[in-house]
Amino acid sequence: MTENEQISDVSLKSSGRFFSSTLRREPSLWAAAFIGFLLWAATGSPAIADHLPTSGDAGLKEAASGESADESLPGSAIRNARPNYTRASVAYAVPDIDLTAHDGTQVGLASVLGADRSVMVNFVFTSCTTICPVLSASFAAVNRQLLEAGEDVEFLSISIDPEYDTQKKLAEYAQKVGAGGNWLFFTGARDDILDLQTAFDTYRGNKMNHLPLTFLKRAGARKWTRIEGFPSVEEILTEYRNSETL
Amino acid sequence: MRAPLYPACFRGPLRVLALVALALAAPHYVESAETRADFEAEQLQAGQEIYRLGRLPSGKRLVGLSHGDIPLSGSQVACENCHRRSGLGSSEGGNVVPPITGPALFFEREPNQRLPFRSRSLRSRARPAYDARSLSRAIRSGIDSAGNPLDPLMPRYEMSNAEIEALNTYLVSLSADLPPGLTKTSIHFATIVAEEASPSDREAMLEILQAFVRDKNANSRNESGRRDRGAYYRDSRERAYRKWVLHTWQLKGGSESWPAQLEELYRAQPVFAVLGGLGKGSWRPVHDFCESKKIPCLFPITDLPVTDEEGFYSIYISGGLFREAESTIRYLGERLPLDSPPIVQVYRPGTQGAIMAKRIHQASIDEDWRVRDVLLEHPDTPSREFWLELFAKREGSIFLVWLPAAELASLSFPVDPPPRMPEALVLSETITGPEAFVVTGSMRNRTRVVSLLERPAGRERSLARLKAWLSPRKIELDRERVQADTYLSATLVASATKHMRENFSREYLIEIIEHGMDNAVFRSVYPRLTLGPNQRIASKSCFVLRPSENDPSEWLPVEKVGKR
Repeated sequence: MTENEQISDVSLKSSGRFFSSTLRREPSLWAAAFIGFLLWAATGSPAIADHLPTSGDAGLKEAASGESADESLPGSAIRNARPNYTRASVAYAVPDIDLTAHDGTQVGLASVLGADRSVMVNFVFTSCTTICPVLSASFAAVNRQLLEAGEDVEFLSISIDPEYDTQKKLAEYAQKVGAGGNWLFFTGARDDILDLQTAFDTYRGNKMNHLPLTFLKRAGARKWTRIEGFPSVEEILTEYRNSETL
Repeated sequence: MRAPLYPACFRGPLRVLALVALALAAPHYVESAETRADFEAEQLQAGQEIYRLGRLPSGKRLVGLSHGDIPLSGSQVACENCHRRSGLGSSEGGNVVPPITGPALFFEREPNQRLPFRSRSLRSRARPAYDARSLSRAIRSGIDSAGNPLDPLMPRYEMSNAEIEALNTYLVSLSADLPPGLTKTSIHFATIVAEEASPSDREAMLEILQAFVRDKNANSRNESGRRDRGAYYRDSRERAYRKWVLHTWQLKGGSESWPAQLEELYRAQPVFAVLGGLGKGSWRPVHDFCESKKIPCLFPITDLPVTDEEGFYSIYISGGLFREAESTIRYLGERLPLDSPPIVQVYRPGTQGAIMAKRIHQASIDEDWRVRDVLLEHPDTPSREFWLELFAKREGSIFLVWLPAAELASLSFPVDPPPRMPEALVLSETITGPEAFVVTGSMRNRTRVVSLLERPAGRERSLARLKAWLSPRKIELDRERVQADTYLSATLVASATKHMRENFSREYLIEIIEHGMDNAVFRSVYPRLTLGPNQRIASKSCFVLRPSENDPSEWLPVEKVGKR
């Protein structure tokens, strides 16, 4: 449960609405505002763009793509800036379960995740509001760039809410996020999906408590690269290119 | 001395001139007030579309970047996704999304802790109030009002000043007013009972609700004293305490008159939410009323919920008859061979059976099934001869018998099997009740029962909790589903209300229920309950049962027809 604290009995008169409506009612304030603007411009107030965060600060990037492949990223001295993600290299025993793809095809997971193809996997659900839209958008962008680079990678998004995520719902979701032919969404029996989540150490007791995870594996590799958090598109591509091939 | 009503310059001859000037100017003021009201309504609408749908006033999709280079657009990046309909935020996988309502944004944020408990970590969450400029900066550049970067999960948006102003107008309105049905000491709930509901079900539901509310209001922890004095650690929890007041809204007559009745009942006594409820026919009129008034309608007991997922304010325990129809269709689809036998539906017009039959017909078009209907127009219960004749005429068909248990008496053929047997006989437990399982004789092995309920052993385990609650209150467990569903709705709403604390928002109440349902300890008579954002049916399971070959009293799932 969220633990939001909010003052519920305050008057909204002192909020932003007050400024906007007052300015419209009192034209004389516009003149004052204009003079204020001239003074502000003359004093060389810093532009908003100066405050833009440097996404994926150099220090973080170094840490994220450093040599210590099995370690979590070190913290950062930058205030409020934490590492975007952690990385681990892990061998998983993929359970032999049957899944249904959003296009209706039935597949055995073991065959889809066979050693002869490069794959990226994430765990999502269609009614998820915070994490999954970003994970899906990230997959879409990474997929686009890999296709442009001529890389042959399969993308799999597996629903962790199979009771709700029917094949039809997944098909609608796939269309919404622009999934192409090499990106399939899967659902299956609840117990099988639980087994799968356990095998990949993703199950946290409740779908609302799920983690942002991306798994990638190069063709022929034994180990998976497990990425926990929200790497940028560029960072995922780097992780993919640096991932183990054996 | 009485002060003059108008300035000195308006006395004497100038007075007439001033009045004329005022008279000439007045229409402009009125017009300008109207224009302003129109403008604000437009702003609110535009802001709502940005917030909820990620759609800009120009019709283009809202776009933003998360984590530096992950592009999101349209509904993917709508504010409502993370901050939710209430604007009070959420949490998912350890990511805490803060509230962005007017009171949350445009006031200074101070950790709500008394001095001895203040911690440095919470102090770091303090920030000054947002204003128009700092809000623009936060939306575009991800810098909060204290100059700190926001979490990179929060997208950095491409929005014009006008678009941000529209959004700002909407944010200020979000969860801004206390919803109806609340006073400083009470929170009002209604439970809605349709006239057609069985009197014993009505009594069973009200008995549970009244006992629950009585206990809740017992003030056993001196909650009202804590609320009023409040010199306790985290006293915001105590301040939220409200005494529950339950109103029974008894609807009379046909459902076409319900909207007017509900309107009048709500006008006479506004309520914060509708708790439980009981109906036999479609719940649609109540559903639509709750949507129009934005009242949470939580867990009514109905076999005919609204399942089109277009509403926000109603949550149902199960999909009722529609879920059974869905499972029947799936079962038939999986079981019917390519050269499929014809399907015969037996029901009475105007009953629940007719609703089931309609759903099967809709599916038959896609599935290319041959479906025939046998409508019982005569009031007499179908006789043994009726079934023999029908089975002979439609030999080898699958019979979907959508009749109540009382009409199935001649269907068992305990002694002589009919010379022409049906391929299979499918019944609905929602329509028949527990008597579905008493089909005996030669017909038993061919019978399948579609059921929403947990099997008896699991149900016993789940109901143990209810029995422990009923026993000291001297309430007998004799209307199992009604009593269990009512207790479920009361406990879930009580828990969500407690978590809501002082954030008295109807939307937030619903969001809390969505979020916490998977952790509910009590599951009534259903195998599993689960919800998620914007999911509106909690029990998603449905069984197709066949008789056990070993135990004549046991029925086993042919297949758990879970959704895939």
